[in-house]
Amino acid sequence: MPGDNADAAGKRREVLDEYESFIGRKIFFISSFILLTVLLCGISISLGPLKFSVLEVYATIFDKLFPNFFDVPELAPIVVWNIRLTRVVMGVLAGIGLAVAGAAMQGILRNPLASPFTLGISAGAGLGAALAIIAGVGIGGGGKLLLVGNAFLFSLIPSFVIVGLTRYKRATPETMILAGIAMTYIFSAISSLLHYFSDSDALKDVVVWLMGDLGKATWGDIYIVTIALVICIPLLIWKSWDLNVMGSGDEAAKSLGINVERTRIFVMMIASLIAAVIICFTGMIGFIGLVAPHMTRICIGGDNRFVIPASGLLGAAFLVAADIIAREAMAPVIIPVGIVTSCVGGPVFLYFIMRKKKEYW
Amino acid sequence: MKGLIFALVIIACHSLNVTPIMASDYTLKIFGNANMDDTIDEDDIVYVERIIDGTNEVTELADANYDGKVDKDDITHIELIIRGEEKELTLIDMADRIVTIPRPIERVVAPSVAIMRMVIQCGGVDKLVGVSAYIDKYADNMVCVAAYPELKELPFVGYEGQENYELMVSLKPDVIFTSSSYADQTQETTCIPVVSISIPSFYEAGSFEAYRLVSRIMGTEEMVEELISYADEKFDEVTDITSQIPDDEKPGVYFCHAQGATDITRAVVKYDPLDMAGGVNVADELWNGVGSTVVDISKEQVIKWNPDIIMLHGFGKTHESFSIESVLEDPDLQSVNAIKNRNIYYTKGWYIGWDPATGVAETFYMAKIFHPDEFEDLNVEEEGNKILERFYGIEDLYTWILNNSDYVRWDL
Repeated sequence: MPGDNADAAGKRREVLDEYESFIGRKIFFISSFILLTVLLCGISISLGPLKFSVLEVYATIFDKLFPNFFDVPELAPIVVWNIRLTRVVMGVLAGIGLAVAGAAMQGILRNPLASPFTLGISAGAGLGAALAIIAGVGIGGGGKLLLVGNAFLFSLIPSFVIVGLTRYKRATPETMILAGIAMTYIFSAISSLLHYFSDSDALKDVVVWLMGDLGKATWGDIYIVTIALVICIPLLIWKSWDLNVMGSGDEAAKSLGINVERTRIFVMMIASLIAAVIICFTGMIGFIGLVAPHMTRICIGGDNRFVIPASGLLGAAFLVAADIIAREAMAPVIIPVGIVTSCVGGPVFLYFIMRKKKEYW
Repeated sequence: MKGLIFALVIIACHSLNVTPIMASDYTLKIFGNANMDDTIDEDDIVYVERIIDGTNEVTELADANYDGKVDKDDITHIELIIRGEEKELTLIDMADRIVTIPRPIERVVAPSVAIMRMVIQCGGVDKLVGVSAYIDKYADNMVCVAAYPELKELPFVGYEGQENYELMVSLKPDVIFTSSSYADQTQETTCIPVVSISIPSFYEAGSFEAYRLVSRIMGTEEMVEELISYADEKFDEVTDITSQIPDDEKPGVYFCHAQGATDITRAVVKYDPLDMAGGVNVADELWNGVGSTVVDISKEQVIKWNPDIIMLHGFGKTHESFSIESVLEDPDLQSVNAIKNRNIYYTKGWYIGWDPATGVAETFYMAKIFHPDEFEDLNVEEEGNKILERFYGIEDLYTWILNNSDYVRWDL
């Protein structure tokens, strides 16, 4: 019998070792995602039509923190702080937010197709923006506030409808996804109708908005997005253990004492809020909410406690990289970054799916 | 009886008096225009003095130096504006934004083709330092580039709404003109004053308001006022004749928009030069006063309207999607009068946007097509060259248009 015990202990140690090495692998990936993001931000900030040296760029950044200590070239404060940094910072925030929202939605709905796009959140924001630009109707006064306020309000409608529907019918992942797809179609159709009857100037603004762009971000926008992320992401990470349990099925989760429906609605609302706050400032940047969580799962497995933060980091790296391409590919013409994320993200995603050896989902 | 006549005379005089005031209901929206008329002059100084002593109410534009109070400094500032020596000017732009611009303006960036054209026609071609990337693509088809080929050499700051902010900042402009809804962000990001201009899409009351604002900013308002009167006179020259023609003698015209279309089913429902040239737009019933001027319809609708003349919008020598020949050969349309009589022509329309210069010339062109008898003596090429020279300051531009398009050329 002692031999059996030793065997069992050995096996346990083996399992523990494997678990630890698995955790180590996750930590390795997460740190490399952080490094990648930092590196890409560093590259992005030093690129642009005005040829400042890397040193001058960083001198300009630190000059704000330690005034009169560095030699800052003319125009550099405006260019670096208002133009380049806002792009990069908004890119990081939007990448994090969209990817985290996508990861949480996929987790909660146990469906690899869930993302801010497939759940109608983007289409809702698109309709809100189109209404503001073309018809000039909506909340928030006028100009940008109208646009952002309207996009935000409309992007929340799908979540409310989905949650409302699922109150009467049980909140199963399938009904939620189907309701989201239905909302997407309805909103897109109304937007198209509006585009059709709008004059060319308004249409141009809508098209630019729909393609998604980081260049419109100002520091004020960045503060708002930061606050939203700082509040919402910890809430999602806090719920990620419940998500893991729910991954093995509603019944199993219920038997472990989780209020499945309430958790699902809560996580949906928080994820929608994150997506809405970002989309209303950047326009529609597609594919990140879908690609980043999947690539993360391929790399580190399906434990939501890690998937949610790691997806965020990968999303940030991905969006900043896409923005570099958007700015440099046809310089000085800037391609809307949403086009790049879809063009580049699609093939990269396909490659990852083809290459994976085992079922990761 | 005498009393009655006297009263009638008074009323008649009064109504005569009222008309000119109605005609100039344009308000120059620049701070310093205290009496809210169409100019800044001595009257505004008097008006501000009366505000200070309490006789006049404070008006929206009385605070000339825009420091939040109406006082003696505003009078000094108005005097500077009148002498043209002010260092800055605060105005309300066409998106109702309050913008303070430096004076004088030496460097201008206009990422919109239409506004760039406006700046050129307002005498500011030398002040342009950055233009739309659109020029890169369509340089060979643009009248303003034919007039000033050097525009091609200027930095392209991207497309409107999607500008390269860093490049714009590097050009150090005094002002950026834009028509996009992102004026506020652009100004906040670039720290350069951004003036929002709404681009008129055709000739209508107030369509020159944008010109008035741009020219006031460029300091060429007197020249541009003359240009506006010239355009109005030129339009009148045509309408004086066409308005005498009874409606039932005017041809029914179908104006077809070619952009993005594969056949003739995109109807232009509103185009002023067409009406002024004495045509009846058959698609007019679809015009509701606002929104899109281009509507998709069916061929069946064209057959039902049965227009006497078809105008195809476009420019250039190649006609990719469809041409006069392909429309003439369309078996579905053979019952239409215009096809039977081969009354189908190319015209510029909104090609690369509404340009009042080519719009005036086009009015003469269409008038001659619609009413060849009434305009028998009209030499469209000569008239067009004169009009375009007045707007662009360059000779023979209409001849250039004719050489690069398939528009009708009358042999005289």
